[in-house]
Amino acid sequence: MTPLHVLLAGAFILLGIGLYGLLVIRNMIKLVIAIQIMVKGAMLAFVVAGGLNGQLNLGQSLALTVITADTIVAIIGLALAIRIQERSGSLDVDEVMNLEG
Amino acid sequence: MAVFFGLVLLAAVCALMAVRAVRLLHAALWLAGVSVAVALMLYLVGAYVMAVIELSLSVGLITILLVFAISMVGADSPDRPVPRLLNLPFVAAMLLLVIGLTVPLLASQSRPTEASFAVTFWQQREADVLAQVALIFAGVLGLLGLLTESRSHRPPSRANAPQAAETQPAAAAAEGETELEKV
Repeated sequence: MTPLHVLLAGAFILLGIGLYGLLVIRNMIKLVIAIQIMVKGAMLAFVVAGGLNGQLNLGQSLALTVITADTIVAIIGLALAIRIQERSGSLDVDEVMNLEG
Repeated sequence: MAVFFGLVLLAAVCALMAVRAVRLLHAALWLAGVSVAVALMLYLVGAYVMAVIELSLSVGLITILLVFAISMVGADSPDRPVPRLLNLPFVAAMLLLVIGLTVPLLASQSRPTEASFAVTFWQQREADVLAQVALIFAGVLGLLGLLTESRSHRPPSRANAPQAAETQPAAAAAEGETELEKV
């Protein structure tokens, strides 16, 4: 077992914790945090897979694209959360889903 | 090897604490801890560029954005996660699926000679660069649209002072509204 395999296992652990967070969390801002954790796992997996295949720079360039998209997702998600909180007065996704109109 | 195990453990503990934290601000700070651990892992692997970008973007920008958003929504509202019976088996099944699909691919790949990061990023992955530029523009436009619209749809309790309609003259209320719109 090499260090890269340990990091690949770490990437899968982060992916699992983020997915668990997406399932149990009801607050919109914390949902963005759970998505961030998942994407960190995916980004780490890209780099580690590149390292395992001898193409570390290709893995880095793919991870750079992932982190850019992830930042945009976080910004839009937080703006949406602020806007929904202004309109409905709550950040709870269950309460927002029960609203009519 | 012990360093890698320690970093993986640090990242997992920080991620779990971020998910389980009751207060939003604590969750944001634990997420910054995850980012620090991931950046250290990337540095130790040799992905120096990604380590720097991860540290500056995730620990810096995203944490500041989260704190800013938490302050904008008002009080740091506590949130307790709601675990359900099928969550853990579902997560385990998804992880097994991902591991089963990806790990065999890693062993079967060939190992060609590698170009430098600049050549790989700017020449071989040119479409990714264009996609990133488009993403950044889309993000900026989306953010402007969302925040501009939210300013024009403020709830009545915030946009107008409740006592102004009855006690003060209409001209003063209109002046107050224009001042709020300017802000």
